Amino acid sequence: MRKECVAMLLAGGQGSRLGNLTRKIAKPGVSFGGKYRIIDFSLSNCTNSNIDTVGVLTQYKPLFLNAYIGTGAAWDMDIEDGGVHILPPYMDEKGGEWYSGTADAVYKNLDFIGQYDPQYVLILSGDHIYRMDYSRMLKFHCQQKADATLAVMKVPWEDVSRFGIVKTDEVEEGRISDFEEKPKKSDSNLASMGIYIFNWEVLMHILKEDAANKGSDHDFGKNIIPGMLKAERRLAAYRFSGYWRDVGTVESYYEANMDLLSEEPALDMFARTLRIYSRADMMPPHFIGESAVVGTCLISNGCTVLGTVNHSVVSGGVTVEAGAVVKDSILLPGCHIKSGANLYRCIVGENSIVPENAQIGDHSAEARIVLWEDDQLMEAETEVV
Amino acid sequence: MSRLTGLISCNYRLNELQNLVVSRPVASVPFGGRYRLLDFTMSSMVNSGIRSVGVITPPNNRSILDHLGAGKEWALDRKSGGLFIMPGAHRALLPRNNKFSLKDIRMNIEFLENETADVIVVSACNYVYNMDFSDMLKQHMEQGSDVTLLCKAYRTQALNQLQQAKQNLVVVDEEKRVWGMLAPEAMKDEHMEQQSFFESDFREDLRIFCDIFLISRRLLLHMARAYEDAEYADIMDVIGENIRQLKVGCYMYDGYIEPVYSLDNYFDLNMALLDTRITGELFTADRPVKTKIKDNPPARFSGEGRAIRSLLSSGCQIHGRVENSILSREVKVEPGAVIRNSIIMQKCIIGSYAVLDHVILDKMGNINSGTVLNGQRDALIVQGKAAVI
Repeated sequence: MRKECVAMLLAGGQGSRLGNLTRKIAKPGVSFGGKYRIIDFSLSNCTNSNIDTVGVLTQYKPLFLNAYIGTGAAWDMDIEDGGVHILPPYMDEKGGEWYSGTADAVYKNLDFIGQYDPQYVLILSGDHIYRMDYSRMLKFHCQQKADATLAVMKVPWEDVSRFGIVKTDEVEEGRISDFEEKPKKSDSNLASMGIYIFNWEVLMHILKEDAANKGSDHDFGKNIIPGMLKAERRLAAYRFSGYWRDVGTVESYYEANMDLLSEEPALDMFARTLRIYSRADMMPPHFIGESAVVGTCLISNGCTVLGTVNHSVVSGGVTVEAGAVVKDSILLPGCHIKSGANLYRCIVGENSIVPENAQIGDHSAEARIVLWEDDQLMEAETEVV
Repeated sequence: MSRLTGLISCNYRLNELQNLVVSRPVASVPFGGRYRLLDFTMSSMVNSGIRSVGVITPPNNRSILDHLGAGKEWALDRKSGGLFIMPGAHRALLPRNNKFSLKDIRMNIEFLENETADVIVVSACNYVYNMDFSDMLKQHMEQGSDVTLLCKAYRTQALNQLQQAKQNLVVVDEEKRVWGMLAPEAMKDEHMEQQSFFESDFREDLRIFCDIFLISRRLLLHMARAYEDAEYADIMDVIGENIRQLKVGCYMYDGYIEPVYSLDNYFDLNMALLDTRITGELFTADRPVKTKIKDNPPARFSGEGRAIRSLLSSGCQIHGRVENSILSREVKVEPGAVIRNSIIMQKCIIGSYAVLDHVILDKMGNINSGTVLNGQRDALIVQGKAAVI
């Protein structure tokens, strides 16, 4: 059946800037905010925007992600016509090769999109924390009669060098006049959020062109968008003003988690609209023991808290023994903090055990975030070799 | 273990639960924060490998249907087998505390006819437990029984509870074969002579029947047809009547299994979940108790939010103090509020500086700021659904 809009979710990157957090699983599969995985946000946004057909492009250590997504039932995507599809690299009669860039990954799956013969294609990243109704963006895209629309938002001036920066036309405000990928300096602070809507016919044409171009890195931000501007395609900028975080680095991942603990979080997980769905483990309510002291924290199902937990995110099935102190930290699912351990500004990896009386991390706000995983302390930053 | 099919009887009342069962059947009484009573039986069945479960519902079954849906959470949304939700018989003026009415079975006889399993596990829905039926089935097959009753050891102290919980006593012979069943009425005070019989020391030949049994599918079908004229016969009565002809065995279970039968005991059983030894046995990682998924965020404690010795569910927002209590999903405790020794159900809002002690507050209750409700263990304050105080 023909679909109005098909989403392609880029989940194949290693996310090396998340360092050791992605040693075992791809970035979109990393636990976030206690009971979520990063990919839950994009998938739930699709569900909440009535987009029921999503291709998830996987490549780096996809096993967990494949299992996690499963039939897509957690996001109501277990439907006969459409639903969520995992799209790994594949072989054809000429052999096989890896996805060599974001645009290449979509190019290699043009046939998948073609099955649904959509009018529009939505390109998403699997590593952003935000809540957004894409149907509004789609409506804007149609109104603008654009070939492609980028979601943009204002970022602090000092951050412009981290993003693709968009300049809009002085007369036609919605139209993009210039685009620079990670400029050192710019007189605009409108950043591309890595969310694109393309007219299907246009996307097909451009990706085929790009694939034939040997010099291209096959990247949406680096090649496709600038190329379209050069070719004087009509590009529109859809302004988004809500909470949005790229959790591509350990700092931003940590800060985004801590954002949930603020008095009135900008991303209100308790709001009834645009809910974020996740694939939940069946666990009992969490137990707070006699000796426990908890404050300013998120605590998930299946936890047993007997120690002190302050200003921290505690994921499902975690045990904090009596006498342990956890502060300004993120405890990932299933980890076990033994008594007497003191944790500050620390991320404890999934199912890891922190031994008795361990002293991990540093009080001071400037201290770097450390990661404790598999019985060892590692710099959260360390690049995977 | 596809040789077993599940059948859960929910078509009976437990009026002793008062406010909690005004608008809902026993099966969907909330329990332990995020569960409904039915979840324990459903989960025990599917965790035992049962892939086909029939649920006989009472006429006021809305909350059961809402909770079970297509059985997705229990992996019962199958092409073959799966979840079968069935209507129960209207009991009209007849007593409604019969758990295993044959009329319920007969109304839905096609379910039993279509199943291929040799043995049906029939269970009531007011028990808190998490057990694997495989071992019980093994004994049933090895002994070649027609019926196997799930029993607990008899203790004299339990007598009072048996009467309240309306649990039958089972009498076994030396071969552990059941030769008699005693209804709780038979143990009432007026039978003084018998009273002393029961209160004599520990009796090896008595067992407490936990309203769960295995029965051969053919026998159950036969009973339903043969007793067609006896409108409201209970399966237990029929088994009792034919105890000499049938081979009725008794499976001893020493795990945690407790019936909910009164408000006081409902309170106690909830509070028992604050004992990690009991939760450790009920909620194991490899045999999870499954329930309807709500996709709530984790519970959130603000800077002034505190809890000790409590069970809290997802979606709770805690700005006040919670002690020795059980909170269901999406409960909001405003700053300065104190909750002690209480059971607070889904979506209740506890206003600032309100104080609750020994309170059972049903779903969507709204406690105004400053309200003080001080109950006691033997004088619980129980508020029905959507109370505003």
